[in-house]
Amino acid sequence: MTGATVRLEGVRIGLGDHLVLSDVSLVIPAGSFLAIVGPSGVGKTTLLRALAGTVPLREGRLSIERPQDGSAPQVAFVFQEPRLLPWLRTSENVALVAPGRSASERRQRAYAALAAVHLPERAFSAWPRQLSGGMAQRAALARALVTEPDLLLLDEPFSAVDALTRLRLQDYLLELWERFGFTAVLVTHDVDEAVYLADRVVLLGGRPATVQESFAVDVPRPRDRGDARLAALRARVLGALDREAGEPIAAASGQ
Amino acid sequence: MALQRLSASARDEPLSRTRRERVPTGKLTRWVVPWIVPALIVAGWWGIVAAGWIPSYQLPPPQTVLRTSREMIAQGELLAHLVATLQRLSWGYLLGAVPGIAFGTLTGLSPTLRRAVDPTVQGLRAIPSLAWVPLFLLWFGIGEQARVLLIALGVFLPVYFNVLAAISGLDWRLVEFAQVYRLGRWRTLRFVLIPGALPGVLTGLRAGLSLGWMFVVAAELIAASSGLGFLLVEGQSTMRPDRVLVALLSFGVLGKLSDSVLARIERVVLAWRETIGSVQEAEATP
Ligand SMILES: Nc1ncnc2c1ncn2[C@@H]1O[C@H](COP(=O)(O)OP(=O)(O)OP(=O)(O)O)[C@@H](O)[C@H]1O
Ligand SMILES: [Mg+2]
Repeated sequence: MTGATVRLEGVRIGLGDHLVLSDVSLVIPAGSFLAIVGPSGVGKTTLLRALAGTVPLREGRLSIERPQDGSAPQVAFVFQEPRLLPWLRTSENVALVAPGRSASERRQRAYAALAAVHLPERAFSAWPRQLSGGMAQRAALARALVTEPDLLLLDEPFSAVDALTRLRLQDYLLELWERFGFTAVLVTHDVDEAVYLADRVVLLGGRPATVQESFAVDVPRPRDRGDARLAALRARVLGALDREAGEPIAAASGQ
Repeated sequence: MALQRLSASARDEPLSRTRRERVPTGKLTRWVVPWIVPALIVAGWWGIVAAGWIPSYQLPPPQTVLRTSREMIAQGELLAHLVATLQRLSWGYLLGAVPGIAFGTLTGLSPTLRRAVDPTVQGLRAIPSLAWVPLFLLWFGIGEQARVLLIALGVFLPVYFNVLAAISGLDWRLVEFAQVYRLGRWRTLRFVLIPGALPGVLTGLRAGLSLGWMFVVAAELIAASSGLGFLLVEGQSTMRPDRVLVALLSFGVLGKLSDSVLARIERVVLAWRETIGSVQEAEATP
């Protein structure tokens, strides 16, 4: 897996008779890390689902390509909640989607993936409902990784875990991204998380939503969370988000 | 929960003593307590009859019932009736549960079919199912076939409703997971749809079983020359309350046994729901 290139051109998506996204154009280079921010309900999840192929486009073009060959790219999704199958043990959940000819090979890969996200070994054979929120989300991350994705989609994956666990999971994610080289698209409400992890942060806004602004994060890795450049960028993104969320009021007072 | 209670009550005692003493007492209590009420009932029953408050031709004392049941077992009579009842119930259960699962699944999976069929079925549901009995007798006569079909009807309805609810109540988020990870039809069915619907299906099967017993009695009360229900009617018409009681007790024992078989299956199959403890997080720094 070396990462897929994603191209969106003039994409328009509706749910029911409600137009959610319109004229979305984006290029996500192979192996890059993109963060998407935007007000609640703007259509971030919808955009990820379109990338995963579970929501049809009304208009426009979407292509996900592996640069080396034309073969079908592998897309994996980490949902907002762990979404493990409650009737399979943790390792079985991962083995279910693992590639491999034999059951034992899939199990081996599942163990390796769970180890890669630093899940304690005694949690491997636990039922999902026995796991803490952070452990379950790690298992979900392992399940996505075991498929050897070219494109990894993450929908607010760490929003339900405590602050310390969140920082740790962010570092695991970064470590895995550097190791495996997949293209990552992360939806998040946490602007700190966005600027710390991503190469680029895009802001979705408007109704129907489109890409309002795009911020390049030109800070080399490994990054320091306290880096002044990150702090400055964070302030800019927050400012843009604020304008986006408070649009009607700002427009009324400004004109 | 039991664990919590134990540790709470044991808090002010030395741990080692608690461990040694509580466990056997607890075990003994567990085995003895459930038998206290039945023992009291039998004693009361015996007392009432012995005191002559109820004449023994209406309520024979426990020892008479015991003797009668021993005779009936010795002559093979009880077994014959038991077998007849169980046979009917098994056929009826099979003929009710299988279509119940099949139709419930189909209606659950297809919204169109659900809109077409479900209001009608829900409407029919308002009729207490025993009210169908006379119509059934009119249509199918009073033969063995009619009895089995009647039981099948009683089993079908609760199985159908529960399966339908289980299938249409499946977590769409897990279905989306299956889609995104391209599990394909077979694995989606095997790992997502079936296990997701299983709790509801098992609830339906248990409800179907208890209705099945009800309908066996109905069928045998009305028209039969064998079976435990027949034994009830016959005991009544020949003024043999002891035989009626033997039949009643047999129903009780069989009903309980068959339900615990299903309950056991449920516990094994749904082990993932029964978990209490959680895996503690001990963060090892990488
Ligand atoms: N199945 C659906 N049918 C119709 N409308 C929907 C459906 N799902 C979502 N929507 C609408 O589409 C819009 C975008 O939803 P989406 O879930 O993509 O938002 P989001 O940006 O992910 O929000 P959040 O940050 O709260 O997760 C919302 O206005 C929502 O009401
Ligand atoms: Mg969302």
